[in-house]
Amino acid sequence: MNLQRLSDTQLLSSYLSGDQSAISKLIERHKKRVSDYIHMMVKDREVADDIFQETFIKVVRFIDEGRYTDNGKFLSWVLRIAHNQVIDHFRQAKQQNKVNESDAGFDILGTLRFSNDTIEDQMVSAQIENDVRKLVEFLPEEQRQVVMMRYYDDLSFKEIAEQTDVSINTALGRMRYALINLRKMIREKQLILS
Amino acid sequence: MVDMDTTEATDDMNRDDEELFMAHVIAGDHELLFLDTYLREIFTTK
Repeated sequence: MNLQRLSDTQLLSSYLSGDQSAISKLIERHKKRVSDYIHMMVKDREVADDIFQETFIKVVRFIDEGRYTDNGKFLSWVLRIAHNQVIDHFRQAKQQNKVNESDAGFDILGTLRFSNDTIEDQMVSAQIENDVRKLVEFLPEEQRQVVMMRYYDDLSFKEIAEQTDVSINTALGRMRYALINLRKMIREKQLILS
Repeated sequence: MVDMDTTEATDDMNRDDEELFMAHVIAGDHELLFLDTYLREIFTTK
């Protein structure tokens, strides 16, 4: 079986069916983004590495315990676990008077839940996803176009730049401001991403 | 609504796509990284 071509959902299913290599492949596929995420929040490299390890230990444990219900958002779920691990670290450090208040402050992840076990959880999650998809329609046309090409067509920024006849600088800038604008709208509507 | 072209990004065709993305789109903002991850997953899941 060519694990490279399998989706996250398929790899999870393979792992749950007994294929240990599938979970290794899944972790390998996403470890850079998870590592980058943690390092952005935690400047101390050693602490960040520890949190990275703790995150994936927890991820595998939750999967083994049946505490992850796959809904096509595996990496978002992993990032939320990583985020919670970072927050726990800040809380512990704060108790030891090692950090300032702002280090553990609010962000758009808000009050995190990662349980989609109940029907209500799934319905709320689906509604939030619909709301967020609709927000893209409110972006300026150039930003909406880059978002669509990036997510739906999975184009590189070089390809986006070529197809829209702009520089890579411009394509990157439009993507950045699309995300900034979407974050602003999510905050204004007080959506909690789950 | 913010709609501006970047003026500071380096137009280096040799950097790979992920490097450009992390350097010039995310630029150290963990919330944007999470948001990008979330959006990609919900737009590819129907």
